[in-house]
Amino acid sequence: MSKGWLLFFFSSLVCGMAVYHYPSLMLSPGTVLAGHEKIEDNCSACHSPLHGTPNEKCANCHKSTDIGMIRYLRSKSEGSTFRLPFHDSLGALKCGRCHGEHKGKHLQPEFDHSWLESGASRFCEHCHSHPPDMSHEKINNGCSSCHSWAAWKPVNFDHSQLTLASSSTCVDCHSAPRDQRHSLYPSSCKDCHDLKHWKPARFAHDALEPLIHVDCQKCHRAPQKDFHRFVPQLCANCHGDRSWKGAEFLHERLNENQRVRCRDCHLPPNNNMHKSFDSNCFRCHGVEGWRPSTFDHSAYFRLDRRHNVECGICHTNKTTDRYTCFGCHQHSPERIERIHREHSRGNLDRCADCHRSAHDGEHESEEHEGGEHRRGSRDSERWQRREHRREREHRGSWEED
Amino acid sequence: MFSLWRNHLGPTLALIFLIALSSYAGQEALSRFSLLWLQRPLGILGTLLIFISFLYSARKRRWIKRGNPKSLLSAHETLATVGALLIFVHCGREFHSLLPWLAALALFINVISGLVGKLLLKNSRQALKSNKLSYQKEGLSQEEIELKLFWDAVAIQAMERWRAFHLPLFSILLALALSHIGTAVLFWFGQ
Repeated sequence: MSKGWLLFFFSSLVCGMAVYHYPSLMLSPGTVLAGHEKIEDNCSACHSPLHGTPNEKCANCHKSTDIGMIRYLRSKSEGSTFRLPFHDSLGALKCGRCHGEHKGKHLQPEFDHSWLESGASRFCEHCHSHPPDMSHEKINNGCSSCHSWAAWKPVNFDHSQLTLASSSTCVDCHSAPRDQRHSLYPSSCKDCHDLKHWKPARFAHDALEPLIHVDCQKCHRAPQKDFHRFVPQLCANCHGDRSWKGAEFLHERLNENQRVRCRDCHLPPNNNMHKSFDSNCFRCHGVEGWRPSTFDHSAYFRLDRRHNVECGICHTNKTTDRYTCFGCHQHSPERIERIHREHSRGNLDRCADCHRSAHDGEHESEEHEGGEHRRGSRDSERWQRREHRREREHRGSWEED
Repeated sequence: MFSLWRNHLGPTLALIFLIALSSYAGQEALSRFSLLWLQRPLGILGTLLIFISFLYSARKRRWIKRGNPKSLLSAHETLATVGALLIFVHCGREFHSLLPWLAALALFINVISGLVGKLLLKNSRQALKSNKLSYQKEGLSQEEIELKLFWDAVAIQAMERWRAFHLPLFSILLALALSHIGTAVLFWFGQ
């Protein structure tokens, strides 16, 4: 026999002895479960050569009647419904299928319902307790009609599994909502909700009692923002019972006091034209709409003859509280001063105080804002006659020429 | 000296490093792609490849009469290297039982020893090329000359010394590997 073979046999012998004396050190693929430390060096306590880990080896220590007993007794004292004979339903399934070993001290068992024999998998109550709640009392189609093997939740429940009588008493399984909205509506849940989902609910206001129907704030919160603060609280005045949007608002529904306080709801216009007006919008606008405006320029000056021009011709500084008649045709400051020399002691820039139109014969007398003088109708007529005379003289001089 | 590194030691060390790196990469890939269940099949496959590579040893000892020794040696080198690589991947990175790791260590030493043997054989063949001329004068065919040169290279003193070292290493490897395989079969079979 060669040296190589001798060395081989010697090495094999050494290996064999090491394995025999230190089996765990030499062979164990990992740490055993807590409680198995005492048999860690005794491989044959669990293993049978060429036969793996037969259940009988486990049963040498773990009697089938004892399995789960500790947990059972503990849970019983706590009022749990843990059922004992779980392992009896497993049939010929090997213990090692769920209870792994050599993978750590605290390795949790793994279980898959597909490992059960086909018959056992149909009898859930052999292992699981029937839930005592009312919702489960009404269903006897077997757990698997709603639950999967992987987990109890999510539940795939279909109301069609219920009997007609059961399906009409929703509160047997579902808690009745306690909010005010539902308390006003004592009819069947089905009137608004379908059997698939609570939301979206199809709610019809018509089904409410008439008194509740007009008291919207029983269910809806009154809006606290915007112009809702100033309007009467009867929502139905403006809103329909299908949607808040598409509201129909009429100013006539406001009381007298509210109706003149436009700025409670509307922002004041931010432009030069409105700056010179007060907050009484009704002087120019109606409640039907901002446009057309009812502003009448004739109240200040009639835009007749050649005066119907762009606003900026007279209101040169882009405001309506100031104007000037100088700047066009015959209204020059020198001429106006010459004409008014006799009787005018006031401000000759405020032409419209006396002249309310372009028409020569139309003069109105008004008190000047400064209270400097008052020109009556007599002065006006005198001024008118003088102007006529001057015009005739002027025309006659042309005819003589 | 530089020539020795470039032509012999360098490639040998590079190959050893490549095997170690490939083993690590293989283990990492199995772990990352949840393919750890492949470890056991890879170990079996690697062992089979190494056993097949021993056809060369059988041919050299004339236990089998057929087969080109040169081709068989080439196959021996390749299959043993690939087989060893698969077994190193099979080892994983968890250290628990001693026996499998001793077997893996013995395999690694044998791989290094085999690479050293390959290096020595290459050197010997180069040294014996001078004999080629005398064989040609004797009127031998080219194929006969190649075969004679091969056996001469195998038979020179350096190779004999290496063999005296390599074979005991292999004996220890064989004992450890068979012990590991035997115990694994005993406990794994029937699970």
